[in-house]
Amino acid sequence: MVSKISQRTTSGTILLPAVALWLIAQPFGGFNVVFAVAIALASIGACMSVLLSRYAPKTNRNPQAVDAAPWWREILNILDREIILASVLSFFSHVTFPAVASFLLLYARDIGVDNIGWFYAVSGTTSILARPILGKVSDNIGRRRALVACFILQALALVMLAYAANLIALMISGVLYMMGLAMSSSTTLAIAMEQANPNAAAAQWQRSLSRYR
Amino acid sequence: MATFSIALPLSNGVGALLCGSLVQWARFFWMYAIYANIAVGGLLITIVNRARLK
Repeated sequence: MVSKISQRTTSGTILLPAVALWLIAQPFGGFNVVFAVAIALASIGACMSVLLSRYAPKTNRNPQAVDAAPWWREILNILDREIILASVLSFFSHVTFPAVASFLLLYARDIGVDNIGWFYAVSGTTSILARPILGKVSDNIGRRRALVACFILQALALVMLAYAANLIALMISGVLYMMGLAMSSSTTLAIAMEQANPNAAAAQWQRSLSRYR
Repeated sequence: MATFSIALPLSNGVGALLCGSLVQWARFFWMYAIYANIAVGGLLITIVNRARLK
């Protein structure tokens, strides 16, 4: 379940750069078309949110409590010690992602590689297929081994990218990186869900209520 | 879970900022080399906290 959520939430981030590059390269395309498609997708998302809002769980609002709390205290209150480790590991596994997603286009141009859309297609497909499979592998081999494998795959992919000179090398690096990222996404989310204290939120809510009584 | 939810957008923001800065100062090769070391940093954090990760 966790890997499926992770798969769906990140597949757009990975696949849409290839779609954008394809749109830019088309005779009818260009940057304006890409922005128009992005606006259309965001509008569809907004409409879907309105349509699906009836299925969302109801929350009890207390405007007085929200207004009374200083904004900086609300920021400090969201730091949950139980899941700091999962958050730090998620940070380290995702902080290198822009180097493989956004900046790879510039890198390919710098080293003289064309048809970079293939890189996004292959790495995006790898990510979508790998997430459910590697999520199950993570459950079987344990969180520690899964994270070790994830960071080794990412480090290896980034070193390969530094030395890459053609499209094949870039694509192999992309596949390795996405396999590592797929494993870390589902593993860190699973760790966070396992280590999060279910009573912490309730206790925090009680403290907030007692402050305003 | 709010702490965990922050980690992802924060990593994307910090990662892109660092990426652009490194490319500007040290070109692509060193940017990827430094990022490989960040991944090794994640590996070390995993190994140090191995008792909490089962």
